[in-house]
Amino acid sequence: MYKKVVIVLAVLFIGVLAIGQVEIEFWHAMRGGHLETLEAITAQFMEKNPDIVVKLVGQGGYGDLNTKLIAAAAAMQPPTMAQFYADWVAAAYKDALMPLDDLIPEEILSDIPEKLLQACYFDGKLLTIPFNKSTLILFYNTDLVSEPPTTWEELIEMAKALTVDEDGDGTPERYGFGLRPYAEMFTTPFWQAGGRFFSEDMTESLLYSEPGLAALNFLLELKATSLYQTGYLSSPFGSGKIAMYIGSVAGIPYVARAAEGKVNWNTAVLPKGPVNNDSIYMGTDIGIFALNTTPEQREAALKYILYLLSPEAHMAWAKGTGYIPFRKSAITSAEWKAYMAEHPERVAVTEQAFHGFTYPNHPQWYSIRGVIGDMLEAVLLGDMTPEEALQWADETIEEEYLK
Amino acid sequence: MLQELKRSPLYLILFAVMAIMLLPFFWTVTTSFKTPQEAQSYPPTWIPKQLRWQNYIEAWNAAPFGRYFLNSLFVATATAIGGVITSVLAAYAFAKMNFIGKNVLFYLLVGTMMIPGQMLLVPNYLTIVKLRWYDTYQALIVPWVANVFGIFLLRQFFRTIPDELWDSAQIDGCSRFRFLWQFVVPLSKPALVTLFLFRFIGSWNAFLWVLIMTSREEMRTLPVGLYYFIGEAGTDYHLLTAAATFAMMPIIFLFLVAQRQFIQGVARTGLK
Repeated sequence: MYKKVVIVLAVLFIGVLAIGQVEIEFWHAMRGGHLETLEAITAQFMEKNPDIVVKLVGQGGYGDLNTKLIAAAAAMQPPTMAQFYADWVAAAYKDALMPLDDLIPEEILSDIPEKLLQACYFDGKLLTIPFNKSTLILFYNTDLVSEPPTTWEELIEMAKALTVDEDGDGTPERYGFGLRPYAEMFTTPFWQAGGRFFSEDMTESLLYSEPGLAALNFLLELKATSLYQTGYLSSPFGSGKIAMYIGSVAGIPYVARAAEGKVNWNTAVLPKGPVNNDSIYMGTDIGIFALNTTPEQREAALKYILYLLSPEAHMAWAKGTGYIPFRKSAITSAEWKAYMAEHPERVAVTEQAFHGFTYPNHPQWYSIRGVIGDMLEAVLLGDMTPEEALQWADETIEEEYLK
Repeated sequence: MLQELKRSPLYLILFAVMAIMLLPFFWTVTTSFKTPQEAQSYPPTWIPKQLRWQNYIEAWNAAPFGRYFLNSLFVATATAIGGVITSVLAAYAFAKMNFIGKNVLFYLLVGTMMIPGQMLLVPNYLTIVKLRWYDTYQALIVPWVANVFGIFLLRQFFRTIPDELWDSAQIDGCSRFRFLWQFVVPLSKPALVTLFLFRFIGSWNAFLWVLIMTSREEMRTLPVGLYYFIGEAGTDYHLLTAAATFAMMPIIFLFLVAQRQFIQGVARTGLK
């Protein structure tokens, strides 16, 4: 209530000063607690910059947001700024966004993990800045697991040991691991085994390879001791039905709620594959439209983005939403250390935030990702062998999206 | 007695089908009373351990649902009434009047039903923006007032009205419009009610169109509000189901009121 009064007062105050104000619209897909955090940070920004009004406009889910952005850009009436997935930019907005290369200070850019920033460059220009980012993380039941596994081999071994079938009916009462088939469950171990998605010139798909086979065989072995389901795994994990699973950090609040009063748990960085323990970086970036916006609006939007990147707002964002903090200076600060001391599940999240990779910026990535997901499912359901599936995926991707 | 006994397998099947149809409603309503933990519990529970009315208050306060309700009600009513009026006029012409190119025109109209709506979204958006209707009620109502499905539905129904009726009315000096208003419309009440309901429900549930054509919070409708509870890594089912329950109440009420007419309308036009 108090917060609302402050916001209302701030808005009124700004209203009085309405002369010479710049209004910018920010189209987003945030909801619930994420939106509340964004609103609070935005209100603080407007308090500090009474000459700028940031209008947050929710556009449903990400798919809806993209549909609307396409329509608005075609009508030459885009908002000042919006959230973007990298493949949307590659497909439609490369020429509509304002390059940020010289506008974001070098000390900020060098403070962000290189791999994370890489996905914001299109044809050598920095068009977006990371916004709401998440990684995969290992969730484990601390009542059952004292030391989390650190390698693939340890994970498989522990999952086996933790699977319990007391009545011997073939259906375990407790599974060592939980497996949900979606593209990132393959791409992350693929990358951890040293895999690369495309050839340099993006004409060849390279899934059928040593790393591809290693990743699929690892997952097949894991599946033998896993609860396999397409639904979110927070519920079975919270009830103790599965001892470990790998999922998005965005699932932490759901796990906390499902586990409350039932099991104790924590998070750990991903077990290391043959090469590394990187996670895919998921989530969107933000950019400013150059198309049909005024210089004043663009300047105001830049100011707002710089505010979002400031240690103060960046930490408030990460704390309020559970998205990863991605500024090195922020996570080494005393404030963040104090926060981690209170939230042990954020320790591994913070470490994992600096071990990640991103997908190639291909305009058709969304569809390509779909093929990878289908391939993974075919293998896990036993419809195809790993070799067949990887070859099928390469052929499909090359024929439909790369040629 | 024997008759009824013979029918009992039929009733059994009907009962089973009914149970299947009602299950999602049952699930929605019971989940709307569960605690967040119970709504996510595994294995799921059918009946909530205790009734948590608070879900309704929380869901209602999560977004401006009062405004959404008014908007949905206004937009759906206007769309449905307008839709029925334009469909009656067009369907009458196609069913009962003769003019050159009638069939070609009719099949052209029906052909437009084959075009997927998503494809038209961008051109429609451009049109709305050019008309300066973006973010207005007109944008939510006017484009949906004309509607091919309605014309098709009523044309089928009007054709079952004998031409002799028009002939004798004509002899008594009745105008076309009066005939339409005083004979055809009253005789077609079930079909009109059916069309009204279809249009009302369609508009009530419309999501993407509203989202694309508006950006002010005050212009949005219930389905956009329901989205508020769906997150990236999970859904707040206890709140979503509470909101869904109060969002579907008016539709259920409307259906109960118009049930008899609705079933007749569907049965007599041969629509399934």
